[in-house]
Amino acid sequence: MGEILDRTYGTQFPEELEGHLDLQNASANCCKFNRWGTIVAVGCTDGRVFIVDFITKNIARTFSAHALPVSCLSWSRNGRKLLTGSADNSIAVFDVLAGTLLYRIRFNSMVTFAMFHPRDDNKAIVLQVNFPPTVEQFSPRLQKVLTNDTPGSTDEVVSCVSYDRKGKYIITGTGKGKLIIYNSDTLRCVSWCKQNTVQQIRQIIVPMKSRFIITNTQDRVIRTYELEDLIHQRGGTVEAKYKVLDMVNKAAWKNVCTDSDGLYVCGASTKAHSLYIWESNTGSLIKILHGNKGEALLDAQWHPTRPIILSIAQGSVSLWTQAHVENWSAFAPEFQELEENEKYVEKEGEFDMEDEDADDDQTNKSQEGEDDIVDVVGVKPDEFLASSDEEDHESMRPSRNLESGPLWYIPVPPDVDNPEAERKLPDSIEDLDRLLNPAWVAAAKGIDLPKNHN
Amino acid sequence: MDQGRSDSAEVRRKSASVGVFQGTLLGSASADGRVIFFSTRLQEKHVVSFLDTFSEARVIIPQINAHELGINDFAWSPTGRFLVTASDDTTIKYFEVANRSLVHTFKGHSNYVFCVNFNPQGNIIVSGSFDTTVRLWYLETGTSKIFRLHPDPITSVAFNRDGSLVASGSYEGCIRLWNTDGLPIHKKILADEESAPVSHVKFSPNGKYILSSNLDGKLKLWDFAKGKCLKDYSGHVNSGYCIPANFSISGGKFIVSGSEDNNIYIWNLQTREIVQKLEGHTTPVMSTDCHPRRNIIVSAALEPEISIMVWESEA
Repeated sequence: MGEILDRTYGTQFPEELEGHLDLQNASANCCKFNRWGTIVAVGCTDGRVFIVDFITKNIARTFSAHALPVSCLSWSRNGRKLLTGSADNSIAVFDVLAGTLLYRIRFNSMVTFAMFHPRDDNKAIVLQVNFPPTVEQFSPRLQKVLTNDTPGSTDEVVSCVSYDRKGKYIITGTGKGKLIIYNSDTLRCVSWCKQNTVQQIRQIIVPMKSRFIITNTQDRVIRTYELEDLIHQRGGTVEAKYKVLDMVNKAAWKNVCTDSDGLYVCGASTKAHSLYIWESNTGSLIKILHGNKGEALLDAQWHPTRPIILSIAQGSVSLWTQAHVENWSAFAPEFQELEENEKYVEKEGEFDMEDEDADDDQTNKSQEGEDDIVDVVGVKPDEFLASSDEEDHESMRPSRNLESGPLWYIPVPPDVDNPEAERKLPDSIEDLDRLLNPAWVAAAKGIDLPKNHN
Repeated sequence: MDQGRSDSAEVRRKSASVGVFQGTLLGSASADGRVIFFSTRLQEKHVVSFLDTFSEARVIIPQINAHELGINDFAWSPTGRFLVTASDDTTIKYFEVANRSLVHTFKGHSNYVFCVNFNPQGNIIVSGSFDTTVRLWYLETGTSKIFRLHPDPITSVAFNRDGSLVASGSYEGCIRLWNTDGLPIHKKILADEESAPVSHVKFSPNGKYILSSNLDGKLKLWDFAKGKCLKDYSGHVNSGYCIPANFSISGGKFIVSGSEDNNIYIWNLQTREIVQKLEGHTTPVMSTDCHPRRNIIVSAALEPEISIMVWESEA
């Protein structure tokens, strides 16, 4: 709900460094928010993965996931599973709530990218160094290779992959600036096209809810395409709908992220700890965030619902948020804060003892809308998380006990010294009686007062 | 286990009685520093009418002698396993209900702790105090964060449905909304021009609206995203005590509040009309709460009556 306020007030992008996440001296390598931004997974160079509660900033789970640095992370749509890929040639899937390893799959080469199917957490796409991307099915185990049959594709390496927003297509980018789109069910090539450069595509970013896809290319240009346009290409060269780049320093981008609407694009520079934020439709640079000098960025992630960016540099996770300006009028709501002195011009009749011009309808007008029906119970799917055409919002409704639906927080049992008291309070009074001291219950029942009806 | 919650406190005299419903368990906290539990063996059906009076003899779980001084407010944890109490002795205590053991005492406020609540995840407590600060207490680490958001004593704090927002109401008449993670604090304020002291705030069950009680005898339903007051409810008497209001959603949609004229008022949420006045108490009704599933209201009145009444409707 906080997002509603963020969306209505203030800037929509981070402006200053807020602090760092405490990871117990581990060296972070990559991070990923879950769908709601309530939990963030942080992968480390020693192969560990921390699950951090983003509200309390406490570490809720630690997985010793890999033997070598974690290269990528992916949350399932319901937040219950976490997929990790690593330089140790393997991927792993964890049950986040139970804290257990579900699957581990070994590959021939370093895994650079792995991503869950956005709607089916039994499938994932995996990219290893110098191998074509594969689609993995965990149970029953199945592997399919994505082949590149486009003309002139000999010794052309796929450098990045991604599912589209709903998992209908798989988009791959090659070392020669080619974008190839597959149907994710049949794995047949749907269309392919070339960027207007032959440089390697490093990364394909799909914002959470928009029809665009964004590419991060070796030529230092961040391009935005409309997915619908790409699907109908037959090998031609496509012009990007929007392009942004750093004109001054010609920085290359280690990583690119966007807010969930795709309104802003953030580029994480490879040269320094600098985050560049553009407005994506105008291409104007609106903010550069500078971290400590001499640090190299490894990853940057935009919070799914709020103007917060996490950046990873030198092993530590920095948190970038909006600037907090002290608002003194907040303490006295009847006063207004003025930038400078101004002469007050009273409104007609403002200081009249009796307002002869008072509009008789005034009172009625202010009552307007008071008889509208207000729904205080119904919960609509979060508009800022989902697009209007989501079909599974019923099953994605958060339940308080986490038994079904999405994992939107990780319950932490409070430390209680008495382990015997681990039992839950029973639902019925009879069970409760059994739980309590029998002698006392008997005493209480013995003096049960007669009911007093008026 | 579902639950409702409510609580109350008195501003001027610093004594309070509290009734909280927890599905099958009813808890009450009072000015004598004790928390008492009652079972709710409710069988009979009555047309919204007086059903039962609980007295201490019907206590099903022994009481907790929580504080030396009066308890202003208490809250059940989302699972019903724990409860927290806020007391005049400036501390907050965290109890395990089943064995009545004190898990932790949170110290830090420098004046009466007036209101307390759990977040829906059950890992953060929010408290408001007469020292004008609001604090978040992290149960995992035992640490706390201070928020100085109001110039006057805090009368009420509440989490929204997903625990991402906190609303705090204070004596100067403002309701402020801010993010639980403490990142850029929202300066979002709900207040009217006259801004009578806010005595209670509560999020609607779906988290989209805020119901506030003001000491000018009005309840207001706010659309906080728009910063607009949608409806107000009046007719009851409330000028001195912090009397909480409730949403009753088990039958129709109603607003329920106690009143200083010894009655309980029930308004139709949409039309703003008073639907019913429940008469029975002989002192101001300090606290009410609604059963999460059944059409039951519990109410607690001030000294010298000191009784909790249960009301049930057939519909």
